[in-house]
Amino acid sequence: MIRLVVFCFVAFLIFIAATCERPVDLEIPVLNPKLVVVSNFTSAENLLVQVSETQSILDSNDVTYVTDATVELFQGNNLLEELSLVMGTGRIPPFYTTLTTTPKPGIEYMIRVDAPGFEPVMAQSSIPDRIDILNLEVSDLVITPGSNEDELVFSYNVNLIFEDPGAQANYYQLNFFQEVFPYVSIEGDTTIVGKDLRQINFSANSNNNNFIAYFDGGVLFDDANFNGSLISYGFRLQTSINRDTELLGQMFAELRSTSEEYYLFHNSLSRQQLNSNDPFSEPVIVFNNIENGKGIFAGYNQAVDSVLILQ
Amino acid sequence: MLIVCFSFNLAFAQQLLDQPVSLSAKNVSLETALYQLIDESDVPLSFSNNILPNTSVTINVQAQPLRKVLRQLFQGTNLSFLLEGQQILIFKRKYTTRPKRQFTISGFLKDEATQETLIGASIFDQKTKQGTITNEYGFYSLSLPEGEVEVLFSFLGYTSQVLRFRLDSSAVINQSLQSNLTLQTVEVVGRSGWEQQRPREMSTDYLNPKMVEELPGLGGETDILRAAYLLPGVQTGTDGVGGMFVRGGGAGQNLVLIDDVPVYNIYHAAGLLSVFNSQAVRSAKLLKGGFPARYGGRLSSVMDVRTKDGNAREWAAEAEVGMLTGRFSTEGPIVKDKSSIFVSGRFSYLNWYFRPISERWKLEQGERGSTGYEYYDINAKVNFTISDQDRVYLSLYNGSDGYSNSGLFESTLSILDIARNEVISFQSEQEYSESITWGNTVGALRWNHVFGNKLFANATFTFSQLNVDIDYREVDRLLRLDPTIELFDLLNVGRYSSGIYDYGAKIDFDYVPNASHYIRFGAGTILRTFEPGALSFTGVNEDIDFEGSLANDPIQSTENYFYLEDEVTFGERWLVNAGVRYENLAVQQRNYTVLQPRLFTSYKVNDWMSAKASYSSMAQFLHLLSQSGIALPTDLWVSATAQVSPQRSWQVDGGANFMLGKGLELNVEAYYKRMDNLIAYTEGANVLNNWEDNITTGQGNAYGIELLLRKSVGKTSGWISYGLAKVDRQFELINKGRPFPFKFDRRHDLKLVVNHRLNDWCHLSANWVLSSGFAFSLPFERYIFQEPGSPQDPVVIEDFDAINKYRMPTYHRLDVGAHMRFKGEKIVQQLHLGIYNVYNRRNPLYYNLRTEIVNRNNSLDAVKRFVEVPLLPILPSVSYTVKF
Repeated sequence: MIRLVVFCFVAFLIFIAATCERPVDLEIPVLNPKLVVVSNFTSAENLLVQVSETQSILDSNDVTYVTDATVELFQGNNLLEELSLVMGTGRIPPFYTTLTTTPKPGIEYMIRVDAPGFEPVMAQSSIPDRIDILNLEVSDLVITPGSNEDELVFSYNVNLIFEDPGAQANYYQLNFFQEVFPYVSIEGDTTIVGKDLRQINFSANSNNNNFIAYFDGGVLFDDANFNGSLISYGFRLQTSINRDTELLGQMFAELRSTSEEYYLFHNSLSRQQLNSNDPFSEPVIVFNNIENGKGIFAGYNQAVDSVLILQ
Repeated sequence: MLIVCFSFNLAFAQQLLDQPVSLSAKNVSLETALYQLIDESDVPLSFSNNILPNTSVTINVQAQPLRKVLRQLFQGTNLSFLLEGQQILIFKRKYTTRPKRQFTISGFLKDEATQETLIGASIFDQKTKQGTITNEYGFYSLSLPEGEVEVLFSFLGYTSQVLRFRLDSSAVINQSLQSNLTLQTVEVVGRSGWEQQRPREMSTDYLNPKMVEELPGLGGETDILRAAYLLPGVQTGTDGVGGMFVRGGGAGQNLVLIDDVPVYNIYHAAGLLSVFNSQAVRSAKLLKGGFPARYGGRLSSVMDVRTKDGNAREWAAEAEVGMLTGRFSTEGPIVKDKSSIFVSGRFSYLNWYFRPISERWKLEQGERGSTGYEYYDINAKVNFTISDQDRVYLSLYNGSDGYSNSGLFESTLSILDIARNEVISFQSEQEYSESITWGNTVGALRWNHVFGNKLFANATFTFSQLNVDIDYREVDRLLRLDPTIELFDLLNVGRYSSGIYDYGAKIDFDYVPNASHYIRFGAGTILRTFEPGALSFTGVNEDIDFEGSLANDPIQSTENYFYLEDEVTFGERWLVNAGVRYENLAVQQRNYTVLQPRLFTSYKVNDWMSAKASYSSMAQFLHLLSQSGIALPTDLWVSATAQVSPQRSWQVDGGANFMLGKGLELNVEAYYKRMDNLIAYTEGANVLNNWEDNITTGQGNAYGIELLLRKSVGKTSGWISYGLAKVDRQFELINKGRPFPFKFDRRHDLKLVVNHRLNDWCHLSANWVLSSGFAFSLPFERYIFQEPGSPQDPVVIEDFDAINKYRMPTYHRLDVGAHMRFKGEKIVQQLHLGIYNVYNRRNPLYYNLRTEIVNRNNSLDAVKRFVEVPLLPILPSVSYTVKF
């Protein structure tokens, strides 16, 4: 809100000027479209890659996905596999996947993407070791009515313990998901009709250099302040359900130990998404590790634990 | 009384020795020639025949000053003369190895009409080529060898005066100069006069308020800061937005002093105008390098502004009506020639424009409310001359800005309740109000004391504070009508405040043991409290109340310093100012100690050229964190802490001065400045959270060349300056850690200022600025991020590639003004006419990306294009001033 007030003041300062704004044709350098490669991969799963192309900032057309690319996965100089194209369906756009190769932790992988009309691009990354969640606890549950008549709000403390490996910089993403079961009551019998996993969002108010709420849920942090120690993280979380149609299930915690490039990309992406829209705010440059192109090729590992919230 | 008698004798001596005489003699003895002079010109010469050498002289002079004739007669002899009573005594000089005795002349230099002391005025003995300048309180002390002296008192805008007398004892000479502008003469004498003196300072520009008054002003406003923007090495944003940036330094690296007290926010309207009411300003100078040890606390510049003491002779008042503000000042003696008072105020009436316009605009949007912005400044000063040696000052400044925005949107809607078959009406209300207020308060109590005629002391207690408050209130309400029932009520109330409070005490000494040394030393302490942002908010959401706060803990610090500098002259050519400044900061159980050596030297190569060089090591214990780069009030002053180190810099400067003719001076300077421990918000930082966790540390480099050609004599005066500069920054967590251009890295910067005096009552002025565009960031590409195989919507990433990679178009602007002065018997009226941005150059403030929906082949299509948002168009202005 404070940002909004300041923004209003800025808007006021340029009140007269803004009425005089005029379109200009800036001498934007003509940039050839580049390949955009996106792949966040983890162990024991097929490696998926999405390939699209960059657009001019003035281009208002939908993004173009590249479906005639050659996508190859290497370990050192050894070609492990050429990825296969999977044409998208519905809201899922086309992507490429390995069929036989599942990445393993500690191995440096390289991806090379070549498509007609584009400069070939490549990138490297690896999957760090998994960091196990040593303990996950929920306490101080408070249930209150929500703003809607049929809404119930659950607030509780979550405490999570893990051990950060020393002698190296480590990066993490922590996600919390609330399991929710939609149900119907027919003549007093409750029938669960599905299962939903809702990611819990964090406020950006606590953001700092080493800890940032991910724009799409969860938090990213590094071990700059606690390198090589037993870490106990506590959060106050909140989730809500419809009291008439939903039941609360387990709360899942996913601790991702990420490569540095994963952390830097998602950190900067999140900062750009949260950045103020006023024209004077300094920009955020999103991290990129695709040589000759854009995007991210980064590995991560994950550990999951869950706890049941007793109502 | 003593002074009056002394002045009378000096005048008599001057009159007698300047008396024109004629003498014509060929091959006669010296004795004969002297008697001939006595007989023909009735000159009271007294001498003994025994001392006259047995030589013959030939002379033929007509109506020449007596002193000149005597010197010609005594040429090649060991004879000299001096005035003794009403006789001119001729005596034989003794050849002795005993050095001549030194005597000191000291006193205050003042304006003849108002008795305001003159700062930085030159006192120069044309015989010995030794000189000094008045200090910040008009005091000077100059030790000269016994004998004939010819002391020139000069100051820009004043008629110079020469006192010729024989110096045979120390004396207090309180001299007054008459303002040139008062006399309506056409010559403005430069600070150094025609004869080139050794430069005493490096990279220092004096901003004479009378000269500034004649420059075209934005909206008719005379502004000392906007005049500083016309100097080489001083940068600002579009039309002044963003503030002042000196030689690649940041906006928070300028030490701005009002009567020797630091002021934290010097801008109104994001830098368009400054807090300096020109009616209150007596003198201002800007130092960009070669900082003497007496200045400290900032890295990049010192702007030393002194306000008027008040007219100690008679009561005077001045009022001005401009397009943006109204101003007044009044001054007068409390005890004539002893003590005076000065009060001035400036009040904007911008709300006369903004309120009605915004009300109308909001009504068109279907809401009631208004938007407003206003500011004011008040200066007051009193001084008491307790004795010839003691003077006490009390000065105060208070200024504030206020922005407000409010609105109420009401709508009524009705629905048909089918079950009851009745119409139910509802009223929806959305109400908001927000305000930002910020302001400075500055105060100083000082005592001047002169010990003997060589030591000047100044003890000062200071207070300075800056407060910023942001308030907002938001109400969202739904009412059912007939009967009225509140169904829904949301309330958000918030308050953000930040502040900085300084309490200081210091003592400064000027000690002038002889003509070769000018020693300054002093010490001080500053207690600072930083309240760097506290946000509290309250919400009411039906039955749920919530409160919260995001607060940065207040930080208290104690800064102590000591400095010593000595300006030493070696012969007639060398001048060295060597000094050291010791500073200590105690904050959060940590101590920072910084020793800052300073060195300046100048060498007079010949009568028209001098060279100079300097080295300055600087430290700054506080940082200014800006989230926007446009001098918003929410820019946050923070202290160095246990985790955040003080800013440091070192700067080397070298240059030369060339006197190209009478009043025509060329100054060439080159510099390099290195800045370390700079801080900035991390990219995408949450600026409301704890600032220490959201910053990154870095460094900066600035180097450049500046040329300034100034003409200060004649009907047409002014200057032309050119700067070539390169400035960069590098921060660990910005731009991927790579160096990037500083926002105000303007490669070329050309400025032209012309003032032409048409006649006694009218003069014209113009200034033209041509600068490389400032650096900015713009995304030229975009792409998407989407987890492969995921149905989630793609996230659009704007690709900025690098910070400040692009440049705004070249900035240029021409302002012109006409200044008319009508002097009546008791009233002086002035009319200022001006045009800002004469040829309506639309210098862009920023670019924005807009999406327009257009009809393309009978289908709606989105077209994106950049829009340029300029700030100030052509703006005519008029202001009227009346002085009583």
